[in-house]
Amino acid sequence: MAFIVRQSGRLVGTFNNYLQPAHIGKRCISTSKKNDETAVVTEKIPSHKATQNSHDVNTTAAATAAKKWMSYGFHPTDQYEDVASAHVFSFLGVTLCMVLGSLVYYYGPDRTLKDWAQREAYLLVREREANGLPLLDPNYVEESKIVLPSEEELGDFEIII
Amino acid sequence: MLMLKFGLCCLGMMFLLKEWLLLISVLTILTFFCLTFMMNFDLGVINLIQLDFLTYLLVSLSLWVTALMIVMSFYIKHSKNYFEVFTSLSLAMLFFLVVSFSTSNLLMFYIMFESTLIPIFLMVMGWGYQPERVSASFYLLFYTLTASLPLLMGILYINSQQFSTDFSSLVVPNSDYLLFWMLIIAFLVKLPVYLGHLWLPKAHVEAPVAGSMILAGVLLKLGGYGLIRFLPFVENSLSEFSVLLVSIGCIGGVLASIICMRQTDCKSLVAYSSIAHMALVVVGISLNSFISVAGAVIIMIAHGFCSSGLFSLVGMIYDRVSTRSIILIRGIVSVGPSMTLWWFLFSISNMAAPPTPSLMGEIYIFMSSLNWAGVLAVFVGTLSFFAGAYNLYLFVSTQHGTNLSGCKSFTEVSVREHFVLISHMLPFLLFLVLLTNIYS
Repeated sequence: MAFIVRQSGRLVGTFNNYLQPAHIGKRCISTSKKNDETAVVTEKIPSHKATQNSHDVNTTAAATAAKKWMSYGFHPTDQYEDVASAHVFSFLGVTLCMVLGSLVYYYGPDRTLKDWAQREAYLLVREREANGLPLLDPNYVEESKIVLPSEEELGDFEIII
Repeated sequence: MLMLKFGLCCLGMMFLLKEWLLLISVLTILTFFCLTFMMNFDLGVINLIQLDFLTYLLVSLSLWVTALMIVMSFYIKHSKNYFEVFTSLSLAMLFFLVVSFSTSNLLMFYIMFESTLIPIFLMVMGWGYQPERVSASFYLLFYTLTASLPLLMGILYINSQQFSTDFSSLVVPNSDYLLFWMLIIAFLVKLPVYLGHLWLPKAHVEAPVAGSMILAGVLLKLGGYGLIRFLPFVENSLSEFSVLLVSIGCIGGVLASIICMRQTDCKSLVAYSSIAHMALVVVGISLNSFISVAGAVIIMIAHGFCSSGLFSLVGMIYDRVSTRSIILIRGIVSVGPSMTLWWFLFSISNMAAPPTPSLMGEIYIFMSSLNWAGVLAVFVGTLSFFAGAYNLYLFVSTQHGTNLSGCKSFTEVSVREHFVLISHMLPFLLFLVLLTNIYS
C-alpha cells in the first residue's frame, strides 16, 4: 500500500506538467513588495484604447483585433453592419435554406405521393401474382371497353401513328 | 390567392429597397417557403395558378438567383449608382418571372414573358460597362420582340377557335404548320437556338454581373419552359418538324461549342457555352419522349446554377483586374488560389462532370437521342467533347501560367463572394436528388 502511494506520487509529479495548463499559477498579477507593505492587487479594467503601459493580454488583443479588422465584403467601412450582414446571410442562406430546407424536403410528408405509389405498386403486384394475372397487361385499357369512332365520324381527321 | 399574396409581398419589398439586408433576408425566406411548402400541385383553374414540378423548380431558381444577384451587386450600392432603382428592377423581374412560370393562362404568360424584357433592357442599358451596351440592349429587345409577335397572334387565334386561353382546356388541333411555327419561334429565339442566337453574346458581354446572372440563370429558361408548355398542344405538327429542330439543335450546338474555343472574352465564352447547353435542351424537347424532356429540364436547372456561378466568377475577376480578356487574365492560382478552387468546381460542372446534375441531364438526352437516331451519337458526342475542351481552355488559360504584372495586386476572395459561390454550388449538388423525382 505504501509502495503504491509512493509510486503514484512520483507518477503524478512526472505528469504534472502535462496534466495542468502551463500558465496556471505561473504568472504573478500582484505587484506586492516583499517587505512591510501589504499586497495590493490592482485590477486592470480592460479598455478599448490600447495604452502604452497596458500589460493586460485581453486589452491588447481587443485593440489589435479592432485595428486589424478585415471586411467580410458586405460593407467596406462599417464593421457592425458588415459582421451583422455576414451573420444574417450565413443563417438564412445556409442554415435555413440549405440545411433546414433539405431536412424538410427529405423528411417531410409525401406530397407528390411517390412513396405511396411504390407501396401501391408492390401491393398490386402481390395481388396479381396471387390471382395468376400477368404483372403488366400489354393493353393499358381493356380492349372490350374501347369504343372507336366510325369512319363517318372521323371524316378527314388526321391519324398519326 | 397565392399569386395575389406574392404580388403584395413583392410590392411590400419595394419599401425595403433601402434596407437591402432585410430585402435579401425576405427573398431567402421566400425561397425556403417555396422549396418546402410549394409541393402541393393543385389545379388552380379559378385563380390562374397551375403548378407542377417544373413550375416549382423554376420559381425556386428565380427566387434564389434574384437574391444572389442582389448580393453580387453591392458595388452598385457602394458607388451610389442608383441601387434602389436597380433592386426595384430586380424585384419587378422576379415578379414577372414567378407569374409567368406559375400561370395557366396563355395570355397572362405572354404578357409576363414580354414584361421580363423591360427590366433586363434597363439593367443592360443603365448599369452596363461599355458604350456598346446600347446596341446590345437593342439586339436583346428587338430579337425577342420580333420573334414573339407571332406568339401573340397564335394565342389570339387559339382564343378565337377554342374560346379559352387556359392550358388545361386546350384541345389538340389537326396539324397546323403555321400555328406550330407561330407558337414556337419565340421560344427558340429566347433559348436561344443557334440561328437566332446573335443577341445573347452581345447582351451577356455588355450586361452587369447581376444582369448576366439573371439572364443566364432564369431568363433563358423561359424559352425552354414555353416549349415544354406549348409543344403538347402542337404535337401533331412536331412529328413533321422534329427532324429539323433536332438537326438545328445538334449542329448548332456543335458550332457554338467550336466558336467557344475561339473566344477571347471570358463572358462571351460562357455565353456561347449557354447556347451549346440550350441546344441540348432543344434536342431533348424536340425528341418528345419522357426521358428526353426530363433530361432537358434537368439541364435547364443545372445550367441555371452553373452559368450564373460562372458569370459571378468572371465578375469577381473583372472587379479586380478590370478586364475580361482571356489573354490578360492569367495565373490566378498564384495570386488567388481560393478563387481557383471555385473556377475549377464551376468549370467541371459546366462540362458535366460527375456527380453534378448536368451529367444526369446529358445522359438522359444522349440515351433518348441515340434511341431516336444512331447518327446523333456523332453530334452529341462532339458537343460533349467540345464542352470539356472549352471549359478546360477557360480554366487553364485563366488560372495557370505566369500572371501579368497588372494582375499582381489581387484581393483575396471575400466572405461575401464565398457565400455567393457556395450558394450556387451547394444547392446545385443538393438538387441532384430532387431532380431524380422528376418522374413524379
